[in-house]
Amino acid sequence: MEPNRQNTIKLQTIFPFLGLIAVIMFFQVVTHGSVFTIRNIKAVLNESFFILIATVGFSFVMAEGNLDLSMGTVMAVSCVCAALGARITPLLAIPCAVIPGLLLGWFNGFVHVNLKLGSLIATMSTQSIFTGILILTLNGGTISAPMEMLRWNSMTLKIVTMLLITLIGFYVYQNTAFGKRCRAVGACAEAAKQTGINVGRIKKSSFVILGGLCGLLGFFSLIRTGTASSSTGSDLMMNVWCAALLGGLPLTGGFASKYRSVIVGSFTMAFLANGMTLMGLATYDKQLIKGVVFLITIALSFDRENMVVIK
Amino acid sequence: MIARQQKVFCRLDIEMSSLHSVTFTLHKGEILGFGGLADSGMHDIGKVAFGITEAYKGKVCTADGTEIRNPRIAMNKKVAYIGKNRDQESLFINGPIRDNIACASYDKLTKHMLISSREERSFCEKWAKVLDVKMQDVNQYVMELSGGNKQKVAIAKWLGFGADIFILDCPTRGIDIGVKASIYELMIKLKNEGKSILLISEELPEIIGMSDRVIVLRNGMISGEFCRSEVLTESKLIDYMV
Repeated sequence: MEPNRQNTIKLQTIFPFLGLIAVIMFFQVVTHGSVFTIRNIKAVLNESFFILIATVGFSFVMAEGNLDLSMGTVMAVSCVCAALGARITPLLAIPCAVIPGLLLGWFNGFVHVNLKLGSLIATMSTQSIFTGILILTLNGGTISAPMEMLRWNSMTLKIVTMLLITLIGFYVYQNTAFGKRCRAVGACAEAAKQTGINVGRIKKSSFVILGGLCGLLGFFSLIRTGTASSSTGSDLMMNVWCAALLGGLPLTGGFASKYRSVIVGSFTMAFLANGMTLMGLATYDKQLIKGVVFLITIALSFDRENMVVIK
Repeated sequence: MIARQQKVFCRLDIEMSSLHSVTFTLHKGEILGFGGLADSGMHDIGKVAFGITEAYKGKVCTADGTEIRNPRIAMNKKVAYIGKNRDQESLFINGPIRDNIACASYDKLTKHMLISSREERSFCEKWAKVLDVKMQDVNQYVMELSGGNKQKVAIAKWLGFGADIFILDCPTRGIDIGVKASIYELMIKLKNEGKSILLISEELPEIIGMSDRVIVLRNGMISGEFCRSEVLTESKLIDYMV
């Protein structure tokens, strides 16, 4: 019996919560109480919208021990497709965003499972391909959405969407065979196979889900900014990775991956980004701090004993 | 329905890198033992039978003719498999007992697309109790258990699943005498209930003691087949193994 293991798990559970509280309190003090104003809470919700939804999708991929570098690019391509579709009729924007997301996600799964490339390499190469598509389509410019679509960008819509996706994500992750099988694959793919789990199909499905959610975010990016450009979603990947790790999701996936990490981590990142903006930091300073936070979190959370090469 | 004659599992002319022309039939309520040296190919018999690896030629099928090509099909036909690499293949040692026992039965536990945590928990506690797994609670990680208890968890998984055909590869390797005896008792109990067991083992006393029939493999080919009898001795089997 190792009492140490129980204590380690408890520490790993508490740390992310402490981190969230620490971040909030830090900025509350430094900005002289600007964090908890109505206006700022709205800003935090806006910030957390993209991170939270993408991290919900990412949690399935990460539970399997996989990574995805192409999230931001999928979002950008979907944004472009949504803008193009909106030119025909604004109502087409949503399907034109989500369907490419699903397809690109499927392609990620295909490269990883059928071409048998590790997820890191696989999504690195697909990211390059998607970026190529993006640049070719944009041809150096941007594509705008019809003006009336900007009205769709309401707080209510975003809050409802966030809640819905987080809740559905929770039930699928915790209480369905699919969610549990994702974690089983991360714990040990061979054992999962010997329990009758179709490992290839589970992995592909997770990438498709993540792709679809990134596609949806492409739509929301379009109605927020009014344009699709090559910088759409450029910081999504880093934000999501940070959120996942700050929340305590293990890199190797498995049964220790808890869904609450998605929520805690996303809000920690949101408050961090928001707080830095309140402090008036320049973009490069923010990048630096995010990088440092990322590094510290990885260093602290790495379970070196159980380390397996990234799959 | 004559229990003895009913075939539940047959293997026709398997050909693969380690096996040549292996053909056998498993009957209902029978314990069929496979013996041989470690590299005789007998461990691969278990893997091919469950659909984990594919044979170049030949096929494995159940009584109704369904060919087993992957573990899912095997499980549809109520076949269970416990491999000899307990920690790497038959269990998630980085996981709680709970998930280890439940993982084969998710389809069974799903109601309206969801699995209730409470039901999953009582399912796992029930089967852990049936096998008398020594643990703190079902949330304890399997890596903290002793070898015998780990094996009990693996067996609990398949009992909970409700298997009719069990493929056991070295089921009592590295396990203390007490648990070993209870596993043998369990195997006999299953046999009496009409379940069938394909027992692969490197321990001759185990094969001789438990099996109704013994097939010996040598260099990937069947070198002998024996029925349960008092005259069967280890030295006789060894003659066929080496």
